[in-house]
Amino acid sequence: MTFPELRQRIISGAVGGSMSADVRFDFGYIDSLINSARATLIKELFKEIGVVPPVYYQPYFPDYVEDMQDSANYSTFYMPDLIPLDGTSDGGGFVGSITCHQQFNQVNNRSEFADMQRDRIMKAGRRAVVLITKGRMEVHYKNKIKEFRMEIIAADPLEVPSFNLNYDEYPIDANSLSRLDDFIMKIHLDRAQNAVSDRIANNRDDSSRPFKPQQ
Amino acid sequence: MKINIDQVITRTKFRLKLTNSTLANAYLEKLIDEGARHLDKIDNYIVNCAELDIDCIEAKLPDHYDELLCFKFPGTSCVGCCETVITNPADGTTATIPSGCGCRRIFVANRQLLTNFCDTGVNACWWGNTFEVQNGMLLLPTSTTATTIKVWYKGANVDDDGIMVLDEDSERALSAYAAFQFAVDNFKKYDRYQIESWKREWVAQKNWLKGSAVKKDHQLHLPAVAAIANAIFLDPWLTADRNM
Repeated sequence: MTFPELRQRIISGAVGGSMSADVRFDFGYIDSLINSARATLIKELFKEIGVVPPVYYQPYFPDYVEDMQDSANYSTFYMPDLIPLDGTSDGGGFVGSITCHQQFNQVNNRSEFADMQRDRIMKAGRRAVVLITKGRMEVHYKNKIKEFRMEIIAADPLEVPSFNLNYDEYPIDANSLSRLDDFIMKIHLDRAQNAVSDRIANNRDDSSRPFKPQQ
Repeated sequence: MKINIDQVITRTKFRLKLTNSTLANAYLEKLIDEGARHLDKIDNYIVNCAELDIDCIEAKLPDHYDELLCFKFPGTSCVGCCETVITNPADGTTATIPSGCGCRRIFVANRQLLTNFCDTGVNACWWGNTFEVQNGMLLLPTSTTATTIKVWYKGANVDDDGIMVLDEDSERALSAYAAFQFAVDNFKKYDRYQIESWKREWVAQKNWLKGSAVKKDHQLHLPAVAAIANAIFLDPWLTADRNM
């Protein structure tokens, strides 16, 4: 199911199948609900079975942009946010060479990375180490790495550059779609739909009064 | 058969259900290398050779060095050695042995030992030199003029990066060790039964590996022991000659 299809499914469910121009169901709001519900489902799934099914992963080939480079010692790349799973796993699945023969070590905070540099075995150089921080990724190795691949569980799959909104399947498994519906409908949209909005611009709370359009 | 440490990392990740991430790889590699050293098997140590630079009569020994076997200054060759012919009084046979060469310098690892040597009255101390090994440095006599030295030493069986070279037999033990240590560090994620079973597996495998290594070592050295025994008991006079 592509993302526009999924989005339409959620909106249709919320308004009983009819189209609506209600601002509470605008795309930005619905998109964020779908992504956050997916993140919750992934965490639940991981807790339940200990792994995340492959359908949730997206291939990511970071682009080496010369203007982003701020050091001669490592390469810097843009990095979409990942979904943290627990203390020992996160949404960074495979990180390594294009051919997948070589794996890079991943680390998610600079303090841990600095500790690793003091260790003979863990320090970068013997192996490539990928330091992922907010929106940014550094690849430390004995020489500059400009090309590699990742399989990631992005917090927002639409932010992965290779994702085509109109054609690519949204990374969620078919079994979880109904749980996604339930999660969004019960927790978010019910609340949003049942809340009466104050539509009279008179500097007063009129949400308890019925809305009568002006003649 | 020797295996790469990556193979053990993979096995450990499968045990720990961490195959969907490389976050723990570096730490697991460290634990596996640590486990390999803790195995303390006889064949964990091998004979190595290295040519070292001498600076201020000191030479830095390799990091994985454990025990010095012998050393030689490059370029010294045994020229003009005398040969002594000794006759076996029992059967009249003769044997030729090199002796009394000026180039045959004896290095003694301990100064006190050299002193004791002199005290025996054999008057051998004039051709003796002492050396010391301290803090991973080989300290040579002050008379040393050479700039390099070739050493043979026993050291941990490591690759170019200083990581232990692993036997296929030890894969199970090492992955159990790494899994046990990792699970103890992340005890909320793994249950006690699992942690304990990995610990038991590590201890059992370690004992088995150590026993097997001793057995293999014994088999390997059996001919040498037999040869020495034969030499001593069957032809003691010649044996003594060759060890003069």
